[in-house]
Amino acid sequence: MAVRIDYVLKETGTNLVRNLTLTFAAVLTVAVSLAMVAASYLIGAGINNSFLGLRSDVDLFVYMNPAATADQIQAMDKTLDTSPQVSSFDFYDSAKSFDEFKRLFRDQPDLLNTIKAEDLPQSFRIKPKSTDAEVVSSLGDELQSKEGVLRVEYAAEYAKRMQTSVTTLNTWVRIVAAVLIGASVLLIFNTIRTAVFARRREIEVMRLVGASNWFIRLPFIVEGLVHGLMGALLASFGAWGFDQLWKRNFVDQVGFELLNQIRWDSGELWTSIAIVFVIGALTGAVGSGIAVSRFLKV
Amino acid sequence: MIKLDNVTKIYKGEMVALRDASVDIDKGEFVFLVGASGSGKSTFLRLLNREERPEKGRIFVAGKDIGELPGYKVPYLRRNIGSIYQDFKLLPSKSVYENVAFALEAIGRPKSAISDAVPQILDLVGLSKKQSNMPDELSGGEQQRVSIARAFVNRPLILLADEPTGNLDPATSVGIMKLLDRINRTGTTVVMATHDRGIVDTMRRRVIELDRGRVVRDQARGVYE
Repeated sequence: MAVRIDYVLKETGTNLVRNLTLTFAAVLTVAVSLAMVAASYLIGAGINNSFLGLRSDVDLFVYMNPAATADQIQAMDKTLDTSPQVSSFDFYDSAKSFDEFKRLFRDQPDLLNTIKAEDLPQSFRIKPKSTDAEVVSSLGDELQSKEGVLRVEYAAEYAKRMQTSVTTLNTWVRIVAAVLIGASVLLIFNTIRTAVFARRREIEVMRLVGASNWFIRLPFIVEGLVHGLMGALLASFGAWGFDQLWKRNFVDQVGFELLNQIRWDSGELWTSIAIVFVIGALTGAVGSGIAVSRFLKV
Repeated sequence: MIKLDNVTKIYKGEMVALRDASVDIDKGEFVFLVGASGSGKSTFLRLLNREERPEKGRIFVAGKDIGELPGYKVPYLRRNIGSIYQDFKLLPSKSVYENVAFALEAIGRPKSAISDAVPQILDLVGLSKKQSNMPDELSGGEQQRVSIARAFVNRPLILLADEPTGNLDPATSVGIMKLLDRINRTGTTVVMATHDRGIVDTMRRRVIELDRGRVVRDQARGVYE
């Protein structure tokens, strides 16, 4: 038997309005938890996009002085080639560095226009045989003392530490989001239970006259779905706001070197919104589904 | 139409509501269930529309063993069984018309069928002029007529009545019984649980007496005791 859509919508609307405070609480909780899910997804995507991820297999950077002579560079090349500590290395001249620079900052034309290839220092990227911090550090000290060296950077260590701290933060965001989603399910469950109780006379009559199980259940399930989807809609605005806030405050801002590498594009923003809607719908369906199966005898 | 085969119903593992009851009711019969409070009359009725299920025995309605009916088919059983109660069970927020129409909406009838059937049944129960009234604006007898209209609007094969005159004065009760009699004459099987001696003795229909869950008397054209 087909259940009439206008009937379901009318009944759902009545339920939503009747329990306005509970509806409000449920929707808000869903919205907050889903906004955290979206933020966490964007940060995760941002970490993958950042140079932190790209350089994770290289441990040492030796930047040469802009005034370094070709002899000095050749000497460094030879030192690295013969060093028993070095597993492999790459030489990045200005052109190669600029290629990489263009790739990393592809969405920032202002920056690309101001920087020219010759502004970028030439560098050696080294993968030591040992990953032990002390060994790598002594290798770095040795290279620092060579002529023509601007500075040695323990890029991976620095990058890894930063990546770890951002990832740890992100893990906590995910844990809190998961707890809040659990709370959302419980709140929706409770709201639907209240709606079922408020309509117990109608439900009794419907059972007596032989309304099908779905006819009785559907308005309540749809109500839970609406909670989830309304929360998802609010969370989408939250994700958009987070996106704007992050771009305005961190990306390309001096003083946030740690965070301004974490960036995402609009495709990833849309993906986060899609994820939010899917989880929102599931949260609503699970919460109301449990309530209906437990409290709605048919 | 209705057949109970050695049916035993026990509540919460100890209270025996119905003990080894066997009853056969033909299509179109009018049957009174009598007996003291707690003798099992309501349980008898609740077993017929599968509000309850027996611990032992089998129950047939319209030739089907309803104990074997899967849960999703129970609503279809109930569409063939109208029920009325002492407390009417009307929805206070709906008008007379809406209360009756609700029974058809709930089983997915199209709007056109509903707007045909409801005025017709309200005319049958004599409430055409009160179709816009709310239940609390009606007398007890009128409210019971609405509930009968709701139970019968789908033209069920069976009408179950649990003390339908329990809240009504004798004069009003007579009107309700005339209505049930009229419905019975259309071929609908009526099973009515009652304490009303006057009604049973006047109508002289089949009487099944229950005593602590046992069928102790089954008498055609019987009296209350």
